[in-house]
Amino acid sequence: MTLHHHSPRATVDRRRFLGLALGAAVTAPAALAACSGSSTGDNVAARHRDGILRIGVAGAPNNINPLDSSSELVQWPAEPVMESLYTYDQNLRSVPLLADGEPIVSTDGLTWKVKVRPGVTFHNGDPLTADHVVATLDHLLDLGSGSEWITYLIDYVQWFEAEDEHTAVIGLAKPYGLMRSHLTNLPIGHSDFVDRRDTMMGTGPYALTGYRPGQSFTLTRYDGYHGAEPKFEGIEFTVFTDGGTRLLTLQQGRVDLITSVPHTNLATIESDPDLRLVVAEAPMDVLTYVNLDAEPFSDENFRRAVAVSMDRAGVRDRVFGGHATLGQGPIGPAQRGWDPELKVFPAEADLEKAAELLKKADTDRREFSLTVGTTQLGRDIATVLAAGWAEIGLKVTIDQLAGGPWSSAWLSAEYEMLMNTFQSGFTSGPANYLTLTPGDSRNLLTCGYNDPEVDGWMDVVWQTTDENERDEALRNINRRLAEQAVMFPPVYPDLMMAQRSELSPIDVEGLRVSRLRPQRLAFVT
Amino acid sequence: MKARRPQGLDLSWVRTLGWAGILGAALIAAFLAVAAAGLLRGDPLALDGTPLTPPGPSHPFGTDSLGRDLLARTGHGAVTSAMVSVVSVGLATAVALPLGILTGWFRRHPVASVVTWAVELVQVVPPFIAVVVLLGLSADTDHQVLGVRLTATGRLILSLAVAFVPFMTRVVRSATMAELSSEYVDGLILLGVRRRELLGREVLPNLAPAVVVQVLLALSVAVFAEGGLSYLGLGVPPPAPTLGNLIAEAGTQLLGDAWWYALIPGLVLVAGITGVNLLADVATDRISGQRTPVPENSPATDEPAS
Repeated sequence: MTLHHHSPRATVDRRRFLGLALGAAVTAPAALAACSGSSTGDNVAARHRDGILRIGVAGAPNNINPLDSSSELVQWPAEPVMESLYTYDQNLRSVPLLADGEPIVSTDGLTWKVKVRPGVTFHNGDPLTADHVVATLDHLLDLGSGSEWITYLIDYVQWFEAEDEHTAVIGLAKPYGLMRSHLTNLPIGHSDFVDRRDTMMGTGPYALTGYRPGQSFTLTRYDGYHGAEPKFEGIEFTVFTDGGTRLLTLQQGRVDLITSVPHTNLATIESDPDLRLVVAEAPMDVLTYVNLDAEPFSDENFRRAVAVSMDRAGVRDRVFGGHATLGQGPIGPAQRGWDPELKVFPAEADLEKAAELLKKADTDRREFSLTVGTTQLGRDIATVLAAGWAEIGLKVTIDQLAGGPWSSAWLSAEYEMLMNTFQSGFTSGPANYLTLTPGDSRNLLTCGYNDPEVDGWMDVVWQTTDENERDEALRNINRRLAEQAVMFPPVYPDLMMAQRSELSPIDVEGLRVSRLRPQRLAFVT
Repeated sequence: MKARRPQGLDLSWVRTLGWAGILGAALIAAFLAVAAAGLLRGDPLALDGTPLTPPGPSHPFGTDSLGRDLLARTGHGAVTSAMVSVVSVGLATAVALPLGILTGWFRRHPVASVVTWAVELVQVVPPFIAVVVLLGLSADTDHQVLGVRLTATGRLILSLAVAFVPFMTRVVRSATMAELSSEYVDGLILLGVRRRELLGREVLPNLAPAVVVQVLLALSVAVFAEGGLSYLGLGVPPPAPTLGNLIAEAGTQLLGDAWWYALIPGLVLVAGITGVNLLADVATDRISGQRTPVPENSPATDEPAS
């Protein structure tokens, strides 16, 4: 038998420990405050002597293959490493980068021939050839790879081959007007690395020389770069998952730039003379889908009631601090097909009209589930919306699913209302064609809406090479899907970042196609 | 005529509790007061304020980043935390009490030996880690178990309960064995008292002090674990408020001068944990004063087994 002996003088007992802990809690902040404080500007200048640009980001996933994921967590570190056949110039026009001139397109539009630029080498010294373009396409169209690009290409790209060392040929099943857009956004990887998930090998000005999942990316200057000499010795992307910690590291001068700024930190940034807030209209979507194949959203009146009672202004002001445009249809202000005149839904929830519509509804359901991602942002949007819908007696259950299960719910149509944030610029530039696909009744991702006219406009969007015709079709789709309450996102958020004043300003135009372009920045004194 | 005893304020309880007990009781009272005020305040999900309003007459605890009243959220959070803790510890006790008594009574039976061995094996894993593992093994979404919808809160309660069972079983078993070694037990057996009567009327009441201490300690650990797990996103899912959820949400607001957002729910959580700890401490002192055995390697003590 063991007895509980007390010897308070010899040991720290529980009561004394509690006292010590409370004392430490009270005095620690003061002690920490006393330890801080020095000339941040001097520290930053000293740090910049190593020539390393440091960026604070919100995460670093396990799969960093930029051919698989269009997440900004992968794409921003990949920008200085990987390059595409074509790129965006300052005016966001598509111009050759790894391609040696414009593509040669057959008269029927079904064959695209692209010559790759000679003299370009990968970071391991291998020359860029057409075989690498073929290997990249091969990876994208491999169902087992899980690449997001497959959605864009599978119905159109029928075959591809290397005609010679420097010429890649792509055969299409039908005319594909978005092909040039894809060639402008698709990174070209080394054939030995296209299937790798733990690294990336490209032709950009910086090589990935270090990667720790969930922690950091280390990029080192590539001296064999085919373009202008890189300005930095290296670029480091360090993960600070918490927004407040990211901001603190920026204030302390430990990083030069941070991404994904929570709106609650805006006042702190704006009041700090050493910091600069970057706000840009970008192709950021709050994907919002309702399942029309099942109650309650199969009922048009129920759907409209939910749409008109959506607290759009609440989401804009409470979740994004006013830095968002009120939502109508699926296309936002930074995307092709945006219609500023479209006003189907009110800014404030119209509870009276919603109540009338609910009375007309055939369905008895007055509750539904809203499935969102696991981010704080998604949760906040859902919370504000649910509180608004509660005012007309709609009970909303918020389900939070991580990326994989969320995508599975989308693919298998096991949802009632589905929401998530998505940045489309990496794959579609100043547009978001993927967002619209659930409105197409023939698509795998269909939400159950069946409108032959919309299906026809979808064909125009994907197939025409006439930009004006495409924009017109996009506007028609946007209007119809909003008017029918099929897709009605609450807002179109702005993209927000913050940088130190010792760094040259971020190119806001680049952010319109989601490009951070860190390699184009420079230290300033 | 009957003589009247002099009436006066009986302060013997002050001596009984000591300063630690009084402070503990006051902290628990404060915790419960916040919970009650929060419940009376109304809907913790209502967006009825301007985001990040500091504490003032309209919102005594201020508002959060979405404009929700923090008194309502903190109060409901305290209730949720207390409910999760009480139910999980209650479940653990309900399982551990009969298990510990039976393995103590039939200590030479092979089944009891296996159960004891299993309990000691599970006890190698710290409870908090065990809960994290159990939550990780359970499904992400709600599902039906025996016709009952098992929510995230339910999974958290069950995980905490399962993690507490080994400790509490060992406590009860040790206390039972100590009790059975007393002379009065042999005497009662010789007098022909039936086993059920002996256990129910004599042994069980004598186990109460040790069990009460362990329950109090487990409660404080449960409040802490609920807060920590919710902070890590493993507990009750938002937007339902818990103290851990509130502190986690407040993390990004500290730099924005929103000191109240994390501080107030944090203080309430500290009050709850410290209050229960202090009362458990007092109870331990009093029971130790009566030389009631406390078994080795229980949550009450880190002393090595002898």
